[in-house]
Amino acid sequence: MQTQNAPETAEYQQTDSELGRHLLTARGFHWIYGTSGDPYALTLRAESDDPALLTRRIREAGPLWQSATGAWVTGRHGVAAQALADPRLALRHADLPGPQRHVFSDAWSNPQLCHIIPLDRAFLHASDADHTRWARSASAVLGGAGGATAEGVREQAGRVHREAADRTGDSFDLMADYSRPVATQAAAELLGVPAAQRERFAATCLALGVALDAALCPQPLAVTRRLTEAVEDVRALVADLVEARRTQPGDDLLSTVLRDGSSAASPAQDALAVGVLTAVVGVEVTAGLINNTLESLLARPVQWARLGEGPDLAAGAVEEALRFAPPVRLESRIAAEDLSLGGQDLPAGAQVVVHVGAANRDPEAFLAPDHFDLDRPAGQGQLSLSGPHTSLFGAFARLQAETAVRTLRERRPVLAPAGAVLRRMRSPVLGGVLRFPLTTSA
Amino acid sequence: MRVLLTSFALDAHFNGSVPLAWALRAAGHEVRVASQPALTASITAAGLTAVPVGADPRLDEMVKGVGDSVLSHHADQSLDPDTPGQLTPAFLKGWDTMLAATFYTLINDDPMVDDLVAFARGWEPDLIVWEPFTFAGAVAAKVTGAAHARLLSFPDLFMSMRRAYLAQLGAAPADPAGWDGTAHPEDSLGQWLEWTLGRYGVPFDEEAVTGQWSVDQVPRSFRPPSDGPVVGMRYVPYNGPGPAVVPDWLRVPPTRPRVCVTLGLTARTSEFPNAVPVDLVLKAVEGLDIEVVATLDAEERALLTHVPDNVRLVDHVPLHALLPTCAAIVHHGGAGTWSTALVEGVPQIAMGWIWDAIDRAQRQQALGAGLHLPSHEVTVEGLRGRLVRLLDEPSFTAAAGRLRAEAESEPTPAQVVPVLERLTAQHRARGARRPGGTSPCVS
Repeated sequence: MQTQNAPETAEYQQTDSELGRHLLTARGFHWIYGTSGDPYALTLRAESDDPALLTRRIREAGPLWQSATGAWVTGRHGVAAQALADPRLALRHADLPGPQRHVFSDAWSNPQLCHIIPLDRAFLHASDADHTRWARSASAVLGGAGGATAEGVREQAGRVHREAADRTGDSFDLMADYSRPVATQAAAELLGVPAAQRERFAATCLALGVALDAALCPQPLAVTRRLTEAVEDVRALVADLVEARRTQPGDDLLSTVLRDGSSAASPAQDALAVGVLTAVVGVEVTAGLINNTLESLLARPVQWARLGEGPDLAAGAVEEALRFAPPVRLESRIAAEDLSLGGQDLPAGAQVVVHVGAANRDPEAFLAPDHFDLDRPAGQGQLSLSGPHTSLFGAFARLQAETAVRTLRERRPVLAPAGAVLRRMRSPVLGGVLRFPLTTSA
Repeated sequence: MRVLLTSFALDAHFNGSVPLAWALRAAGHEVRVASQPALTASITAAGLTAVPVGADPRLDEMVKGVGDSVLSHHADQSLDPDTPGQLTPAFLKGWDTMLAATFYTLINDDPMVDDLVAFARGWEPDLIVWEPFTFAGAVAAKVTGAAHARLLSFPDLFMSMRRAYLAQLGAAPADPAGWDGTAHPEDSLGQWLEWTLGRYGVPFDEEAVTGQWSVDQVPRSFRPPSDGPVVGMRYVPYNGPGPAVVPDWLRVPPTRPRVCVTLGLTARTSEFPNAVPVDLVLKAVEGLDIEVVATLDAEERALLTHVPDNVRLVDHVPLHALLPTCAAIVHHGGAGTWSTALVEGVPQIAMGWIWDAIDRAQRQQALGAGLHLPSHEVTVEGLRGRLVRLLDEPSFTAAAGRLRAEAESEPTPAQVVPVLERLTAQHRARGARRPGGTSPCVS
């Protein structure tokens, strides 16, 4: 099992000079590849280029096309759906055991940009088998089906959101005062983080928030250092919780994995993985989905007003936001073997990038794709949160976002933007929100 | 005093330091020139003492690998901070990011910096004079406490861009979530210098980019505004490292107006592209009642379809010997050629298309001492018309003469030496004085 062979942290140690140079080189190459107008390279640059325009160019460049970065990119719904469902397209290289680390030889040789830094310790490059097992053992809590545990999660969510909404004043920041705190608190309650550790957990989650971006887009050295330190910190925190649950099980996520995954080789390792992924992926994806849903709704006051007509519309709003403004825009995979996709023959080891945002607006799959439609019929196959690590938190993120919409619509009905949404730089995957100022009075 | 000069291994960037090195040596100071081994032959050919550091930076492979992309970002881009709409945030960030990733860190790689610091620790220079991209010199100075200065051989547009970029970064909204832990996470050059200095336990400050002062050999009319101390110095042509030999034909005055055509030496000896359509250039002079001296090597001659009767082809001739006999020069825009023509008072057609070559040529044109013709815009008619103007209209020669006088009004390298002695005494860290050594500075 991959997690049992988790490498020692020493293997990840690099001097500031080594790591800094590595990040600088990767960043330099995203710029270099962008000079020819390559829309995927420009997406990874994550600069001022219009993301809607880049998204369209990525889709229109062909069903599956090779970017100057080396990656095969698709923004077509059909190919994207096929790629995301293909077990031969994995999060890691089939022939590279251990950390997914790529060492750049020279500053002018085309560097391998599929795993900018190894995030194995955060369980972001796990195998399909691991993910399948984790999803199964966590399903009683994260699966989204009914049941007593899920009902408990729903009630908890309602309480957390009501408290957060009631704390807001005449004006507040959606990310800082609502989305991030509720996502962090909901995750903490899933894991049963004790009150004394909540502050540490929140600080760690904040630093972990760049993880999905850092895998594809080099972050500054200091941000990368904080990320890798936070990975170790959350591992230690979760490992302590797992240890405690082994003797005193509860109805939390970690106890569930320990119980339902008891046939696994190491249920404790699986619980660690699921717990760490909750902090690394669950929190940021949930906060992002809340932000994107509210941003889409508040930009359309008529639709926001309509939500008052029926609480059931919240689910449709979240589903449409997943399509319209994905919380995870890019999904990167490595071909485990030679394969054909989108009319191209790809060699083993090729990187395939699905631009979820582009695929979700493919006019061949969606009627009026650039229109945000609360009533869009379900089942048209929007592709957000269908990766192995994102789908694990699909039901959780949906529940939190629906609860956010319902709670804010009910308690802050005249909510409106008080300024532009400011997004983090170097955030091509998440489009991480820094600031989202809102006013609660007309 | 002990003076350590350093430049990465490229003649075009080293040559500008040779006359100052001679002046320091002639004044009795100890001088060493540190560079990668590839420059050792050039350093010793200039009569100086070489200190090889690090390994050769493989610039040619870099240019072959990524040159097109990096150059295309900068081609036809004015770097003049006064030209509106040019120094956009996207341009400056690309400039900073790409050059830090592929150039600054390549020519100042860790082994080179380590070797330079180790040498400076042992030899204990009082002053380190560094070529403005050879930041290793600043690192060695900050680690050892030596005074340090940049030596400019081309207009300091780098610093104008740096200032504009830092101002843009400073104006960007701060990040409330605390992602931006460092002062300027998007400042690639600053980040790299921060962790490079950090290897020696020395904190980064902007002095590692600016030097404590700059010695500027560029005439005042071409200096962008500076907010750091500048010591002006006259540009004295060295034109190395090729053998400087006066050929027979150059010993008699020309019978017709003489025009020099040259593409410089860098494109010959590196992968840096020659952008000049030299065949068109020679077609443009055909039939004019002039004598053209074209300094072209075999590879450049291979680009010619025809050599007009009024063209003398030579492989190499020292420009400082040739240009006093010339009425005009047509060249690729490089700094060494441009500077030599300027101090010789020769009107120029400069075909610059990138970096400061564009701004030098444009400013020269604005000052009436020459004309700018970007190399990709060269046509036979366009070039011929410009050359005829340069030869026929006395205003060009008069303006070139004014620039020559301006250049000559600056102190010579020998006159600058006492200024450097004084500044070194001011800036040098007290603790860096050699035990038992002589006083580092002439009083």
